[in-house]
Amino acid sequence: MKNELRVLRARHGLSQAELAEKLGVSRQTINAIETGRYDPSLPLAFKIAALFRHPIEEIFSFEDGAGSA
Amino acid sequence: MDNNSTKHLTANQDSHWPSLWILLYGNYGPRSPEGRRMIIRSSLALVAMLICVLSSALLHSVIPKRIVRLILAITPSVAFTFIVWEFRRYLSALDELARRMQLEAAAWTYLCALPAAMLLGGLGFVYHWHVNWYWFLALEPMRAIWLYFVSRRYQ
Repeated sequence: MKNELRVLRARHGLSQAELAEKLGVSRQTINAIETGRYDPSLPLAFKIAALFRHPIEEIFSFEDGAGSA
Repeated sequence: MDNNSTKHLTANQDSHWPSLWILLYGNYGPRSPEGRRMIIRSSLALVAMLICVLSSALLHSVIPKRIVRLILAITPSVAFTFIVWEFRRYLSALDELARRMQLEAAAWTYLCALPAAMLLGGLGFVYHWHVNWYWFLALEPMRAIWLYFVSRRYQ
């Protein structure tokens, strides 16, 4: 999965710690999502979408082995 | 993107899991209230267990022998039941990634322990070895090591 979390977070002027607090997760979890090492659960993905007021598919996109979104 | 945004993009790139606490205690340290509670209560349970076992062993001349034996037999189990209960509470308070890592580490520990137990059982059966059940405790450092390796994957 690819995501735009880092860009959105920066656009809203939030640090990883601030975003983590708003979402009720750890800073490490935000970092793991941003670096693409962890794909969040659906509830967390919806929470992120609701927080940034963006459709979920604009934040997260599926990326198969060939690298297409 | 303005400077402020750029700062936020790069400010927290070193968000690592706390390796020292992971290796020492098999959890993420005392920075969170639930982590602090887990560490304090588990340590207290271990200290209480040691005090109970040592004092009953020291007072064996005063206390009836069968009572001492009963205390020695049951106390570790009571202490570890409490620790497991606390760990369950700790797990339920973690966020989804932290919990996933703990469960992954526990699963890997179990999968490694299974062939090890079979090997020890086989050797014990053939060579009439008596393997002390307290060796089961070695699974805890093994779980901590697995948690360390799992945490490397998510940072």
